[in-house]
Amino acid sequence: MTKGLIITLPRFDVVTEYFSEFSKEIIDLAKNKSIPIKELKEDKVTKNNTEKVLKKLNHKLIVFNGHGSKTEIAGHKNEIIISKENSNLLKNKIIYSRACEAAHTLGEEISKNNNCFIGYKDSFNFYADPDKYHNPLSDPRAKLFLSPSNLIPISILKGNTVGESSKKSKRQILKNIKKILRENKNESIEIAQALFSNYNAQAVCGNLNERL
Amino acid sequence: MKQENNENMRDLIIARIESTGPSNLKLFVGGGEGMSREDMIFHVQKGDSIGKKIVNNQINFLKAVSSGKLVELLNTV
Repeated sequence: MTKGLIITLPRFDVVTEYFSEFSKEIIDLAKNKSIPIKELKEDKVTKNNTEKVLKKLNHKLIVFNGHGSKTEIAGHKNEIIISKENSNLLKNKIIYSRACEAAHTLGEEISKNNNCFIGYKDSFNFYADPDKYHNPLSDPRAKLFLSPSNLIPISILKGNTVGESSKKSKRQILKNIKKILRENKNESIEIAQALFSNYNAQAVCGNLNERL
Repeated sequence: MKQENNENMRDLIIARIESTGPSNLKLFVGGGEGMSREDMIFHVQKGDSIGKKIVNNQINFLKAVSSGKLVELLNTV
């Protein structure tokens, strides 16, 4: 297994647009640290391409961006790219899935294969400003949700264990809840509530001491 | 009695969304389009899967606030 990153970057709706834009921070860090990286972008995020890349490259860290369910992770236009059927391709890897619910059943299943899976047992929620859809990175409300989630792969790329990385991410969610409550705006409670929902949903399945 | 409690809870959640739901933002819960405050209220009233998620998230948050769990967590950072 080599120190490397495979990341999926579908971009066909607002959610995947935001996930892909915010992933630039993860990609930039990997490049700065000269960690080999394979980006699967837009309509290339298909089951066939994902399987090809996972078979060809021995990179240890896999980041999935997209939609999901309790048993599946999707790619371009919601094509299912990972399910129980091909989860053996993720053997001995560290997986972070920024997709709804995948940690619930799929994550538990995958973690049995000597893997470590970080994801969400319930929905991943975020607020976004429609006026910022054209430039997600300029959306401060979305940043409250996506920056803590970025911290998971970022912390792993920096050499921390999976357990430490998830903990750092969760601490950042709590800091953001504090920040938004201190703003004391009408909308603060609702945003804090959505952040707290992500805090509760984020889960690690497998060996917490695994590192890149 | 249980149905009455559920209806009261639903009305409470709707009142909360009406008063504190961000008017200029969209909420993304899983896939699909972002929801405005009005969309959220529609789903809660309809009682569909999205509406149930919204209600559960609100109840979990209220429980964490009332039990002191949220304050306890926020004091750790």
